[in-house]
Amino acid sequence: MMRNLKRIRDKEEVQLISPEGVRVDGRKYDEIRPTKIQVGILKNADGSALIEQGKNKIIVAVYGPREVHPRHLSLPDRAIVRCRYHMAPFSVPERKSPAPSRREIELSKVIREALEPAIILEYFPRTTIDIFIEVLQADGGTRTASITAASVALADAGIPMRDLVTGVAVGKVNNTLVLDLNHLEDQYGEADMPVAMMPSLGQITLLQADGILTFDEFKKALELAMKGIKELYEIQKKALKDKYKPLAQEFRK
Amino acid sequence: MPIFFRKGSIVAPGDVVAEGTYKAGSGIVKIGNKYISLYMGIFDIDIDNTLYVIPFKNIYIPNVGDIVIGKIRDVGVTSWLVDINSPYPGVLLVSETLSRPIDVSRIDLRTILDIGDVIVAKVIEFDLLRDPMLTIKESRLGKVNQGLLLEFQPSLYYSIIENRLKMIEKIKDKLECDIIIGKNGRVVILGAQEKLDQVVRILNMIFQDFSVGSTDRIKRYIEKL
Repeated sequence: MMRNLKRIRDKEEVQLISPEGVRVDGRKYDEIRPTKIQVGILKNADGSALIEQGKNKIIVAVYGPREVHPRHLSLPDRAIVRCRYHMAPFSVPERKSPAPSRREIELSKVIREALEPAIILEYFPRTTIDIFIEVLQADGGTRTASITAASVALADAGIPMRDLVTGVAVGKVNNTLVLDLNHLEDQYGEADMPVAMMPSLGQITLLQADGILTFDEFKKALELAMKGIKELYEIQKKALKDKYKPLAQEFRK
Repeated sequence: MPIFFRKGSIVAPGDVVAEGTYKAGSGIVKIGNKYISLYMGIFDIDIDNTLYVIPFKNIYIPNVGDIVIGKIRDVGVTSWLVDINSPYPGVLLVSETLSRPIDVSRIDLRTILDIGDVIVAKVIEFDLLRDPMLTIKESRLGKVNQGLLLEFQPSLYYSIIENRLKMIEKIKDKLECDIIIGKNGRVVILGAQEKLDQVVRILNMIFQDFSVGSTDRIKRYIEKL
């Protein structure tokens, strides 16, 4: 795969960032895509969120804590987390088979492991917290957008968490580090590094990397990711707090 | 020793509410010297410097002594499984149902309580390792034969709603009905008859309307009855 891409690149260099530093969608190197988060969009779920990050559109539903079925999966001292990341057949230009692919199964695991450290699982032994992630439209960076939305949905469900988890990808295109890759930059860029962290605790819960980065570039990339995460973190909190504003006003009396 | 939020402001999980030496109450964890909120909720601070977060959404965890309103989910050989709006299902044993001993081999438990029946019960045992045990062997407990069951968020009952609970006593008198409030977020209305729609409207306001000035508005509404 990488070699194939390299061959394409060698033939005709794909220009992903102009000499003036403008990217394919008009952003600067350190800009995230316009992001909107809506909280509590599903009535049936205990908690839910919709994230629109650029052309990405993802719905997350959270159920639980609830009884575990099948029973033998439950743990005596803490809750378990189950996560399903799924892409709708119409989420990409070419129809995607609705059956869970190898990639989706892996992403489900990776997202679960990014969220687990934030949740206080010991409060609800013998129960499960189920997270359903449905990608309606994909344009690169869906795993990090899913994590961002899922932690908002978890907070909406009233599940105790040490912090929200926020994710963003950084990468290298035409030898420049860029923040929040879209699909094109992800496909034809030289490197791609998704990062998720708990911003106010300063702890990283997900760090993957594909492609080649020097150690110096890695350090700079991580800094860039943290900048993006900070911005997204504020959007997450604002979305949550706006929903509950009327409640607080009545409390102050 | 700074506190970063005012009493009564909204906090999200991960918000650092204070630094220094305080007491971490419910909804707060101490990590390093930071006090962090665990919930989407309202920040509160006590006179003795205890920090709290009252969550907007509460997950009902049974407590010994709680009055809960349950629905029979399954009938076993010597017990019933009761949905009590909690991650843990309630267990109601035959011995906690009737005052006289019965022969379970001869009597079908469905004749006593069947699936879908609503009961008012009390939690008598619970420790997170085993499911909560319920009893209906006390006065005011037992099967609800007629009435109306409403479900609300079990949140904020004892904070925002505290002074609203006093209003419920007034409704009981004025509209000649009985209202049983379960700690698990369920409410049963008994009696009321033709005034039932009014009772439902008021309860909906009490438990769901938190818009600005709603407490006063509800108070006025009840006075006018």
